[in-house]
Amino acid sequence: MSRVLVRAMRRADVPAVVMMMRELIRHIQAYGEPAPGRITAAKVLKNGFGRDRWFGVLVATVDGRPAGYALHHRGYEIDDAARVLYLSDLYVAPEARRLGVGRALMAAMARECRRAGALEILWRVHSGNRGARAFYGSLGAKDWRLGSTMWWPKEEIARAATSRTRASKRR
Amino acid sequence: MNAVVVRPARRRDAAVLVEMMRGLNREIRALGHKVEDRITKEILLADGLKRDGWINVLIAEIDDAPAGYAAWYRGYDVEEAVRQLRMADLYVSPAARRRGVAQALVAALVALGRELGVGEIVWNVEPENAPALAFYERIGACAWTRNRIMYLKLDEYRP
Repeated sequence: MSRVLVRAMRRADVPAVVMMMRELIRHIQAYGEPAPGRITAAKVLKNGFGRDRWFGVLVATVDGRPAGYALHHRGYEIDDAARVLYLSDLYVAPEARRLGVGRALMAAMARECRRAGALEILWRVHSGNRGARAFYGSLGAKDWRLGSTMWWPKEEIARAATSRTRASKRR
Repeated sequence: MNAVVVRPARRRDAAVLVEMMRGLNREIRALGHKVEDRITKEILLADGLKRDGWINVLIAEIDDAPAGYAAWYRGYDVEEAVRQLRMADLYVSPAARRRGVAQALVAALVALGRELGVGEIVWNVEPENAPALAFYERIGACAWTRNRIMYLKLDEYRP
């Protein structure tokens, strides 16, 4: 049985996190040419820790090994007068798929949202990415005003935040 | 002198900022979009206008009278591996238009970004907002047309 755990990134995780970031960058389309080498351990160390950090990272492990991550930062929606968390990256390593890692990361994001005092979580997903949209929809997320942005209403966040991360019964 | 002065908004600017935010909402409604006036002075003071706030504001004044504002918060672009400023609002009061207020606000945001080691500023714009799009293109911004998100790499900023 595989044991899935999610926790805040530690300095020792940074090399594995950078590898996963580069994997994600290789798979997504960006303006200009995707250049996975731009993100480095030095940049993650400089920007991802401490009170003044520019982003936070949650790391998922399967049987103790890094298997995915969620990168987030604070934001604000003036129209809604709402503190929000932006989920910039959500990644599960190919070899760790179908173990509940994505779900565990989103549950941890929900707890992070409450811890940070934010009301909503927002993120972008390509309208053609049916798998991702189905996954997020199953968590109660909805499409937001802007075409490719999704948001997670606070009732659904509350539900996910209190769900316990259970070890997957697969494999 | 009628020069535009831009400075970080202080707590005592809260009421004036909320009025301008409502002004922006009126213009958004005039473009045909639904938006409610949820921000209040109390909420703005709770969430911003302080160190480590959730929302930060630069206010523009002409002869000590409010003329506009830019609201922003911090982000990060993992693909480009750069710090980002996200511009939540850019607004010029109708009475202060065509006096360089928007340029002054963007220039101040770019300068602030450079101080913070930021690589790009990112924001949304409604595709029907032709004057805004023309202004943004003049200053060197580009569009991610699929997402209606604009970005300005600070190295490409045209003052």
